[in-house]
Amino acid sequence: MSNQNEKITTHQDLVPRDLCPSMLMKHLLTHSMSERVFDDRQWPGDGYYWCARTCTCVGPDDEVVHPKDCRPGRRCYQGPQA
Amino acid sequence: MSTPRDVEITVGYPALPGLEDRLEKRTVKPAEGDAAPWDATTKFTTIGTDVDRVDGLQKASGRAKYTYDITFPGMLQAMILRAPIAKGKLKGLELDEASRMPGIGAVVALKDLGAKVRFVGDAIAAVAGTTLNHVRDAIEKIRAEYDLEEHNVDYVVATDAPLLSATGQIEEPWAEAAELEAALKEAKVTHEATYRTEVQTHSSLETHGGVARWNGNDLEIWLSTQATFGCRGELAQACKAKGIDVGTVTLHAEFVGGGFGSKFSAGIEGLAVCLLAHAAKVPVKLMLDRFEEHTTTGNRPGCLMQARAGVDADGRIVAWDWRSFGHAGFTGSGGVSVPNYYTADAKKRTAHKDLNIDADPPRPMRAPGHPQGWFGAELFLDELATKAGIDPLQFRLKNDREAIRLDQWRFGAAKFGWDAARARKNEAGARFLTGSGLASARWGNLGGAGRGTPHGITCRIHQDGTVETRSGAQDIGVGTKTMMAIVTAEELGIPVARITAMTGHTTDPSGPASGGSTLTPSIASAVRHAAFLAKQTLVEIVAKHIGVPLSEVHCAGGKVGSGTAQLRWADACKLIGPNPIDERGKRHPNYAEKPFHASQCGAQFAEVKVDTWTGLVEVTRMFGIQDCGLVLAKKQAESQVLGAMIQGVSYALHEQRIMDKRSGRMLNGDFLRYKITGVRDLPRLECHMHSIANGHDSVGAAGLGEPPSVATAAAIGNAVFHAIGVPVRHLPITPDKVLAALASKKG
Repeated sequence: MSNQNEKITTHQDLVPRDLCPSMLMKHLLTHSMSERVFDDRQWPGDGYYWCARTCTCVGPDDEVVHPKDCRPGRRCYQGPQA
Repeated sequence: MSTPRDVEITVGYPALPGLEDRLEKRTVKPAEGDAAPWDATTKFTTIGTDVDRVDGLQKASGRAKYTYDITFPGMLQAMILRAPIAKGKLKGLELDEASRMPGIGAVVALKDLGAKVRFVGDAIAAVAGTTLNHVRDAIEKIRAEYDLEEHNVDYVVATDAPLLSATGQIEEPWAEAAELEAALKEAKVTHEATYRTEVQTHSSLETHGGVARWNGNDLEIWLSTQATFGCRGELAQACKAKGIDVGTVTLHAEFVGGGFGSKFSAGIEGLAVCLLAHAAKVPVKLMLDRFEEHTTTGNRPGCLMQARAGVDADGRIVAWDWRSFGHAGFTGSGGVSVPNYYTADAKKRTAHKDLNIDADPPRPMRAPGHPQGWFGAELFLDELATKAGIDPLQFRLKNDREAIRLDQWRFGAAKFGWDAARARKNEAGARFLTGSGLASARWGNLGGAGRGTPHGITCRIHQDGTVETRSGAQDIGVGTKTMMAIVTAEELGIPVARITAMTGHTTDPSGPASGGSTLTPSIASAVRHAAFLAKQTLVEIVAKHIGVPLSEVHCAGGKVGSGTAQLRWADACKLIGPNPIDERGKRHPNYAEKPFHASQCGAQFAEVKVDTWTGLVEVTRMFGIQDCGLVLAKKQAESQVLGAMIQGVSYALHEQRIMDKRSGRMLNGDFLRYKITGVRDLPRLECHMHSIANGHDSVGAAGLGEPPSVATAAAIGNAVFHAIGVPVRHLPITPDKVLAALASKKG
């Protein structure tokens, strides 16, 4: 059951700590990562993600851009190494 | 640094007619150096008054230069070759012949050999030439070959879509949830239904695109965007990834012909124009055509929603179960939101699943996920209320937990004439049936200071008495420049006519993208802070000139001075000298203290007339009440609300993407066949701006772009239900669906 003990979740809470910095989304550009999430979504933002190196929803490796995937181990990952 | 002082302010709002005020005292701690907060007791001279759009004449006379209007001598025009297949791989791409065509300056590949093609319209290559005819001829000479794969462009039959019955009901069993099942079992009245919405494509009047020119390694680009700084950084990174040694990037977007959520990324068209200009070594323009706009720049996803709920004997919702399935193109962004303020005490569950298809993915569109979710939820609530024998307004008054909206329901109902409208009976057998409906709106954005360096604003006061207020953020047409001029005028105590507001050049201080209704709440208090600092500097100059202690000099009402030693604004500014006062204000963080309300509330009422012979629905009148914190630019705020209602009428009655399942291609990718509400379709529209002092920063503005677009389609859907007595649960409410609903009633 969701929402019975409502806990405030922000978009920032849903961002993986090791996310590739080339992954972009609306809430990053609008500086709204601290905005509250009102529903049960698992990932931050509106679900529209794109790569700053391709300007499309597909990364340099020809795979779809998504916060669950744009992380260490992906061939095109450019974030800080752990 | 001294400790910021405590300031007592009054938050809330004065009484709406016939209701009580909601005013409260609150103590806040503004940041050091910031202006004292405006609150519910502040007497404004300019804020909240009717001020014409400061760039209205420029726009109406054609002097406003949009990206589309930018041109340079020797500039080339460009187009993109698009994939004709919905799924496969690019196995061959031959560009040489196109490059050798007369008038062609550059040809670039946008997809590597072997790369996946994911939808009809996926970008393959781009060509720049002297004229678009040269470019079209060259594109004909590009040989692209594909390995085809089987595709699917219908989310309703996607592999993991729920099963639908012949009547469109979701047939899958609900997952076990003991508490919820128990609540449903105990409820006095229960109801279950399936709702559906179609894809609404982005249709900004100015299509996506840009004009790029390189000066050595430095790029200058005019881009139709709603994220000047975001796109500047994105293009620098993308050009570097393509092997270009990029120096500085300067981006201009002084006028933007709409964005609605589709213009956050520079897009492949933005990158392509930079690559072409770099290769051709002359300026290049690339603007998408209308078909590309409909098919490649995103959309509001369609969705399936299924709800079941129960109410107790008092009409309170005690159980709420909701699941949705959203079309997500080839990515994954078909999310749906539903109101949570009706179901605070209910046993509830919500779940969502994205359904992937081989089509252009959704992008944020004005209140992403909300209009579709609210349509389903609010119509479901009306069906539930009807089943329980409760008037829809009374049902909401019983269940809505937002105190502000409870006032709005009551005020709006009186203004709209709800009771009389609902009591009016249609004549038996009449051809035209009228009905009334209502729906709520919610959004949550009070803005913020930004990550890292806070959002900034420049304010300059010149010796001739004119004032500039400048932001590098964009105005996507909502009236940002006017808002900046109004806030500056209020702080300086001078008329708006003395002020020039400028936006959209990344050479000015940075600001956020326009999205999520963030821009005004995130920069308004920076605008004020810049004017506040510039005023202080002017006051210091005047104090010195008239020989009065600084603390005794005031700047208000077009005068600067103390007691009888008052200088008119124009005379005071003559003391400035040839170099203007030039101050940079910043957006301080929101106060740590809790605001009066962290969300924005709204309510809308609609009346429709349904032709039972043709099935045509005409919306005859609408009334909306909307809160956006402190209303700064009243006319522009009203314009936002009325514009959202117009867009909502269009969504409710007309807009839908029609795909050819066999080719995967959109069949109605133009304004002839993709129907959008026109002037003759519009109802009488009225709105009331509900100004609320939230007390979260020195200005107290809240977001407005999204919230009024949430309720409209839902209110219209409910009005149609009231008119014909059966719900039409599938947007858009086109004549065929109305006739089918009427037939089901008879049958």
